[in-house]
Amino acid sequence: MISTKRNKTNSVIATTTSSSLHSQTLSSAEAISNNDDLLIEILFCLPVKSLLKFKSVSKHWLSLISSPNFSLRRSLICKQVSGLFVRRPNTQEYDFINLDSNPSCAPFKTLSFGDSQSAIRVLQSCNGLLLCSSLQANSTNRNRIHNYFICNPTTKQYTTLPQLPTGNGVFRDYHGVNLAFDPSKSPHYKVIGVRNCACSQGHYQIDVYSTKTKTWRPSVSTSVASTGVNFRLGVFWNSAILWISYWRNSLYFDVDEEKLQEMPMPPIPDGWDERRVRYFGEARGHLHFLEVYSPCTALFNVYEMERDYSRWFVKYRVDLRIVATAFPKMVRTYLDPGNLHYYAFSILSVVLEENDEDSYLVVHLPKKAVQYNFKDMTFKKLHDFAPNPVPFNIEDESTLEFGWFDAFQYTESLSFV
Amino acid sequence: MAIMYALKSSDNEIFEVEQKVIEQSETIKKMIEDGAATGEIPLQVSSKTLAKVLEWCKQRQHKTVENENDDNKGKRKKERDEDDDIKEWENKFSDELKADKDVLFDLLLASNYLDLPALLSFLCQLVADMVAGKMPEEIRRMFNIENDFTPEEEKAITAEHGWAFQP
Repeated sequence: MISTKRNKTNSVIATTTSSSLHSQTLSSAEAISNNDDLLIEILFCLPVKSLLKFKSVSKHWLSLISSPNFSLRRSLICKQVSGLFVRRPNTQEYDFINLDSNPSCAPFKTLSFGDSQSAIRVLQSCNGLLLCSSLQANSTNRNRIHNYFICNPTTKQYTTLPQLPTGNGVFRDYHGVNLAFDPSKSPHYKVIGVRNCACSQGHYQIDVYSTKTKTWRPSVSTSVASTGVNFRLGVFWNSAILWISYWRNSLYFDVDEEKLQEMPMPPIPDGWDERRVRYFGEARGHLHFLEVYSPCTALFNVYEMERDYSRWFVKYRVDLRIVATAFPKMVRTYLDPGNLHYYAFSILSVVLEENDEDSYLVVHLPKKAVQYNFKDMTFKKLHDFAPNPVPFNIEDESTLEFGWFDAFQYTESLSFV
Repeated sequence: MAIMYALKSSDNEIFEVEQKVIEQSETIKKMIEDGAATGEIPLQVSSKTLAKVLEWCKQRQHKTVENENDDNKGKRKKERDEDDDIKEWENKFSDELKADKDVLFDLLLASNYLDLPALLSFLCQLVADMVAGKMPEEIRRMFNIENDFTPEEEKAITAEHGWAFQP
């Protein structure tokens, strides 16, 4: 039973009401609003938009809704992805693909933080927060500086991270910056920066920023055998940042233990010299990866990683040929059916629903986004992309504008930045 | 023969209820187990509210009994039909409550006092749906909350989340 009661600070109001019926109403309504546990149960049922609005009801409501514990408990209940931001090539604009049953308007079209004049780019989405960057001209020399930001697109709050530690010694260039945030464990997040060694290939220095200390500090410096690792496209899963390798084993950095380790990958098929990765991402605590190879690129597996990093197993089998019959522009008829580019599609996201039978893939076809359900192989159109204001040089009907690295999940969140 | 209990509302009305129905309330179940429930069980709930509580409990009880009597054959279809029936019943139940906020709030407090978690979460969602689109001023009036912000403070909070105030 929820019974904790807060001392009533103002008991005069109810008794001064003249109508007895009215005072009856007030007394039970008041009893509810004076019982924090009951009130919080009701607040948990509200959409974020209402919560932000109700911050101005009273100081007490403000403190309840703003408390880190409230947003933590709420994040455990609501894990729904409500949409995808898709980065438009050659512009600073983002398209928003609605995935919610109650469609809401796009949280933003372009981003601008403070007085920063330069274009803001989303680099990663992680449990409701976005890691963004901008390039700024340096007034003292000709080098340009990267600024990094963490923003919560739901509350429209952002913070600028302190400058990354730079360039003395052998570790110079940053290969990637990634966000690690798990609101179910802590309201604090960490940002991971990876630098490589100028004189020894495969040797990396990792720096960690934490909101607890608000500073960057050097973490591990280590050598790894793996090559072809893309440090720009990190994914946060299972308390680690993971980076995929196009050639060999992939890598992960355990953020709690601060250890860099290798992660196995499925074998690259005979006759191919590199992995044809078409998606790498996290959904509801599961890590997914998919790759496509000819002769029939419309047939592929969605792999899922075991929690102990031991192996990938086939989670879903996908057959997009039926989608191609409904959307003929997806077929490049001028190519040989065995050609790697015969089917024009890219994968934008793997979305897991509470009931796994409803989980689906968001597929980008020329000028469209389509939802393909894993279980019953049904599909429907989700979104029409507006024509690109800056057209490609060579454009045909089957041009694809976005890859998996251009799409970022949007999860409503009250988390602080 | 089902064991019956007599529940006494705060306005001294007696409700005769089957043990199975009323044991959904953890509070009453505990009173029965502790042996405190000889004769009438006095409750701090008005007769109007208690009638609503029992309406909910009987509907729930009805559902559980039916499921126990089912064999597996044809169960899925039956479950689906039942789900539709329950949805319909719940819709009617919530429409009545939405029409009378006093009853809704009293019932919410009673479900908390009687420890009926399913009813409590059902009602919390109902209240949330009802208030979601309201403005802060309407919320203050509904729950009789004093606005303890200075106009400047209120303006600052509103400005911070200005977009949330658009319809």
